[in-house]
Amino acid sequence: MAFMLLRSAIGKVTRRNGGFAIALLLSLPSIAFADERPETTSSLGDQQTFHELHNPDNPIRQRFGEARLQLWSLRPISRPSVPSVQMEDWVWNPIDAFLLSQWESSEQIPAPDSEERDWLRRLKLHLTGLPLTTSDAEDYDRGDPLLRDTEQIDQWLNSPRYGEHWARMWLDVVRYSDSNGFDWDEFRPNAWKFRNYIVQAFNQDKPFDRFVLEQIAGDELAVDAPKPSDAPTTEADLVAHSEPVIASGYLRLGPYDNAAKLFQEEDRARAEWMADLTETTASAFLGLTMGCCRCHDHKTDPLSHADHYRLKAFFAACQIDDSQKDILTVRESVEKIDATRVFYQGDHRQPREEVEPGFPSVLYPGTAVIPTPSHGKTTGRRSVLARWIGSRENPWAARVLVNRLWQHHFGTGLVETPNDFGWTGAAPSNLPLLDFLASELIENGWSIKAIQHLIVTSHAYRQIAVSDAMRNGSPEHRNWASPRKSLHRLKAEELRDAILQASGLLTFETVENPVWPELSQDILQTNPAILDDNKEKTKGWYPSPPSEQTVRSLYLIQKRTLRLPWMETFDQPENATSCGRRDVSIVAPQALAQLNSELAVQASETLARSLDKQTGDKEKAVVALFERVLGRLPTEDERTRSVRFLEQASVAELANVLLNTNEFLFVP
Amino acid sequence: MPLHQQSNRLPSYRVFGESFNRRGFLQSLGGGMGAAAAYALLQRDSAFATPPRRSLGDIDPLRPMAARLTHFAPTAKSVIFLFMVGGPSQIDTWDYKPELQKLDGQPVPSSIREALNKSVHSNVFHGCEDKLLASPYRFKQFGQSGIWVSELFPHMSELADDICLIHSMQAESNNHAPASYQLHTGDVRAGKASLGSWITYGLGSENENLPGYVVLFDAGPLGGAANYSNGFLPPAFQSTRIRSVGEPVPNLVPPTLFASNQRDSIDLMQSFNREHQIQYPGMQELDARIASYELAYRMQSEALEIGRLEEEPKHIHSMYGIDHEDKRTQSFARKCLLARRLVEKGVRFVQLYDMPDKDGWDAHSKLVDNHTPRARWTDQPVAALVKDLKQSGLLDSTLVIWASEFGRTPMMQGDKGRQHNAAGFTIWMAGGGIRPGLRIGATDEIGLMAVERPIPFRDLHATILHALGIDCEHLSYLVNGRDERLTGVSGSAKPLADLFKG
Repeated sequence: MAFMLLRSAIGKVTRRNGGFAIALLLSLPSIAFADERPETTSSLGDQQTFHELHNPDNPIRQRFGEARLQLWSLRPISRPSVPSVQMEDWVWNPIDAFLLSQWESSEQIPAPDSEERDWLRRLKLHLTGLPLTTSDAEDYDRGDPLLRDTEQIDQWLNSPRYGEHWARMWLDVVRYSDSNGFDWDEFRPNAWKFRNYIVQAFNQDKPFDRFVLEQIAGDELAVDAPKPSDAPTTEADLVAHSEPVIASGYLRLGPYDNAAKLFQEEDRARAEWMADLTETTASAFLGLTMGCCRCHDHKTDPLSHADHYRLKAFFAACQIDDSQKDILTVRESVEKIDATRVFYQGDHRQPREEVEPGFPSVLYPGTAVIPTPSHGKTTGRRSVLARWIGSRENPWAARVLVNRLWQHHFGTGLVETPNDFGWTGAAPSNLPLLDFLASELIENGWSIKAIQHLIVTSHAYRQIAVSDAMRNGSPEHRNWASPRKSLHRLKAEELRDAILQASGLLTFETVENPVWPELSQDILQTNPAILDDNKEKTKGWYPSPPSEQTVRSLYLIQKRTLRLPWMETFDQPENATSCGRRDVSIVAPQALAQLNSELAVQASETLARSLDKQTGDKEKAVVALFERVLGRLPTEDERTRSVRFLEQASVAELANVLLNTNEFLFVP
Repeated sequence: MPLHQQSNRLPSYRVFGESFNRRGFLQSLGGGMGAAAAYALLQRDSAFATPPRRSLGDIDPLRPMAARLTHFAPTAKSVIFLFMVGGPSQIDTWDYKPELQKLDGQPVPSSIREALNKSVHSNVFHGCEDKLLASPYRFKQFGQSGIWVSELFPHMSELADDICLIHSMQAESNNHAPASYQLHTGDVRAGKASLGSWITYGLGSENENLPGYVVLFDAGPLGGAANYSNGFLPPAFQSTRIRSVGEPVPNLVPPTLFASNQRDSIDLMQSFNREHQIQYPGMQELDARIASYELAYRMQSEALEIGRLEEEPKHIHSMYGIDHEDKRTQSFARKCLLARRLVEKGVRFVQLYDMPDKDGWDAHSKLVDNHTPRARWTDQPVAALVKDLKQSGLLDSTLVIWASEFGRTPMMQGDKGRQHNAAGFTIWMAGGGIRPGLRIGATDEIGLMAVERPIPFRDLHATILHALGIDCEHLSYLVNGRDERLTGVSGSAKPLADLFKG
């Protein structure tokens, strides 16, 4: 059916984007659609997993009754067939069919397409995190109208800027930081390797199941991998060995109270580390709110108190190991693994019954089967956990991931609560579509880029945003539908990058050690520990040279007890817990920062200076500023008013005006 | 195209509970001034300026700091939280222990040792000698309430009949950052929302032209910004640091080069914004951002105004200690005075830290060298703040809290120092409906552990919320499947009801 729909779209070459569907098929042979393929090999694994759901003796059913097991996200991911729709012409790919089918059933019609420039600007921001420039627009205009859309998409998907942008999404989810937190908040000089691993993983389109495996059990993989030791080793060997270990830095990313030992509170610090790791893993990969069952049975979801500790038991052998100075990772104590016990009311001082590693008991009541690795250096527990997470038997991982991708392309997820796929979370707005994307992900070898390609080549991605206010505001808009609900303010990092790019200051270099901005003494006193630097140079503040200060925001230092003012003002989330979706505020201090901060002023002046070299002519300066900041020419009226403004004000002031406009700040 | 024609094409939508075509309305008002400025005026001055208050926690995205309804009648409108960083010693300040004075140099009495060892606070012994250290300070009784106060606080002792002492506080960690996080956010882990964020999330503020949640410090508390973070709450409820010297808020003042034309710059930008907005009808975030510049403009003048401490009369300066010979006293005095000026203007929550640099009250050795100067830097300003609030009538609606993350041990550590003590310590509260001259709870005879009515931080939090008219069980925010509350999810927090006037 999907194939036919696409063919019908291909027939309409006269339509503005008729060529788009053709190009889609040409460029993405890897994406096959449901009806063209034999049923996927679900079968044995699925049965093993999901038959427990129907077992009358299921412990969760026994404990909580039937209702909790009706949770949508417990169902196996079945590949829905692409629905048929009336407005076939509107459909460019299956995403559109799933959306349209739902809209038609509620008598809604697709909202119109965005202006081409808005689409292009949106696309570039979403794929690279950087605003559209005039030369981008010119290149696009020069392209073959039949092919340029997909060529443009591929170019940006394959740009190194892509990984730098999408890494941020994942770093929010795994609450990345360059420091320990708590009293001393010591710098972690090796954390950047994890950050760059994430950038590379996105750029290389590392299959997500592998990505999961490396983060949760990369150190275990590396034991198996050939050691780059005596024999001449290739770069590839080294990478194969060290990359997964770097990835396992995931296990250490959370806050850690290094001072606890001074007060005999190591047990507390370890309990918090373990609980945090358990909860973050559940949020990040499974959309499960395990924080709730640290202290008691979950209040609404099919998760018991013991489920928290069963999941935690996979990590039980992990010990903090800082002997490998250059890599943040763990060491497993294989000889003596402390028993994992349920903590009464979550209190580590009140251990109760012992549990073994196990997946959520609603699907797997038994203990996880963990083959002992032949090398005997690790327990193998985490590899088992990671392989289960990244398996097609897991009903959560693929759905949770595609939902995150959708959210970052449309502003709102198909499930609005990206870290909560339980009863307290939002129900999916379009479950067949979510499941279609999840099964596409798995069928495409867990390729993130394949899903993003599918998303950005959909007709829905072209549509304008439609808010409730807009629909309620006019009868003409009342039945308009679009998965995009609002315009989105650039995030803290995107905004800083955009300002630097517009002013010509932004530099693209490979950044390893994080870049430390110059901060006033006044701000450094935020955490007094910074003024109390130690011999190892991990507690103080070490500003980078000015030449490094204009790197992309991803590379700026992120400590836990001192927030960079710009980032904080523009809502970069607090980095102690997983953040699946950033809140956005629009408040006065942001306006002040955009008008008067050092960054705003420096960018405005630099921009003005770079133009002055070219021209002293006011008209020309206005045109050049609009091009540099907004990536377009001014309208007649804008030009007139801007020139008038320049009668009394400077070019830098006009640059500041444009850098403060909503057009600059919002993703259309 | 003339503006009035444009406006016909625009949708009207519901804002502030009134359906009207806002832009059309503004443009008809607009005339010579920017429409957004008119909008700002409209918000402030017209009949629309005081829409009915929303209920607690029901946030208007365009006006997140708008004042909201309480659950029940409050006894306080604002809070000033004086945080003494690092753990001042209760037994050298507010918790007089004659028995300790007698046992100087002796080991801890075995009954007390056993009681502590049986509790979750046994680690408090860690790092101390088994040798008691009598207080080097003299105590006297003050006021009609006859409370004992040490000579460290000659000014605050005059507040004896205005404050309510709680002698039996307990924290869950004996280390600074976790205990401090717990006092600020209810949890020893970082990442939760702080008191000021919770309160402004619930109630907004009485003055939208100033930040609703202000922090004041020279140096921040141990554990840094995670103490006063909005955590998982929306970033509109993050704190704003205001400085007591120089520019009160960062970026408040335009650079010289931009200063003379800034109003024109904003007008030009807003005119571009309004044209841009025509292409995107019904997108409220665009309205919000247009409005944010007008708020910024008003904040510029109000925040600059608030920082003009020199406008205060000379006797007020002297009262707070702004003319004190010690610079650190001056500095803390400026913050205390600023706190009063902020609550006077309707700011909901002011958090003030007494940290002068990298060292707080953390007297692991040489208690006297640490505590005596710190008392000198804070005693007069704090006392002046309470007296000043009282004389102006503001104390009736302002809850003042003096507290730290923990206290210190009666056992000696190092060279006549004291170790952290989470097992029992003293805080006080004043104003905002709290009964003055009261003493709650007690520690054992040597001031080591709370033995009468131990009070966890969550009960203190419930009490503060109660004073503001908030039921702690009904101030929540859904995070990862859990209705997070300042007072924890277990539902065991109880306000200290007997603290409130009948």
